[in-house]
Amino acid sequence: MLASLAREVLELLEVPERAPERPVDPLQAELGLADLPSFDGPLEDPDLLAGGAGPLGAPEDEVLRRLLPDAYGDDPQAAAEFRRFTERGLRERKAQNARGLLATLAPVEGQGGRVQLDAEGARTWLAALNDVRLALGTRLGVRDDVDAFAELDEDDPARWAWAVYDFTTHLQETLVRSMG
Amino acid sequence: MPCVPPAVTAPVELDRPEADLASVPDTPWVTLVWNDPVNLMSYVSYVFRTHFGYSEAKADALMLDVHQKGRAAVSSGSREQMERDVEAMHGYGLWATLQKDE
Repeated sequence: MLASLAREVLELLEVPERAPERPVDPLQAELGLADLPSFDGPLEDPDLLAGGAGPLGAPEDEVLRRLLPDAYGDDPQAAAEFRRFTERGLRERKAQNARGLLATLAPVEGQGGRVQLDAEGARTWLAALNDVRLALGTRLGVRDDVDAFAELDEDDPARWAWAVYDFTTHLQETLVRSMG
Repeated sequence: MPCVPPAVTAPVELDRPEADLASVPDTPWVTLVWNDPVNLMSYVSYVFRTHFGYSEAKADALMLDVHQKGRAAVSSGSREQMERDVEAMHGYGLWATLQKDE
């Protein structure tokens, strides 16, 4: 499950050759939440420029906007310039982390088992897990002040997504504490 | 024409712009990290220790500032340095911006 979540994040982060038509967000499909209207919208920024330069505008997709935020809160021009020079590299580093997590999961995927991480692997896992949690948390609309899970009906399909989110939270908390 | 040795005048000329620069604050830009409901407090503190090399006490104090006040200035320096810090924070998944120090 963690591997499939990491794959969804990876897919979101891949720099598209051209803006793809994706009728269903892979992450929301994975979570069984494809019908929720708030998940509509294009996934990729249409302003992606060809020829090595990055995009100028923030991604339209809310998850990508959280993973790749503006660097200047009150200066759109500076934010665009910063994005043009850094976004591609940032996407690649995040994709690299997701691939690192997937590589260590590969031997046990589907059957369960023990994953042992060295220090570098643990750092990669922490960053990749955090991106997975940012993606999930953004889609779920996690807020500081509301326990949304408690307000869901027993048969609400979002309960599963919240359980997954809680699991990734616990996993990251355990991992970060183990690193001292 | 009197010949003034450059060694005498040059330092005087060079001192002037330095004196002007000295009136500008040394650290006019800051990196701000903003509170968000997803990032774990333990992870935010870990990032501050790992990236900035801060002590556990300083990292925890900054993390609590972020959590309780909504944001904290976690580093200061040149605009270029702050852009590098912000890019690193985004790599870790923290919500960070840079701006001129207020």
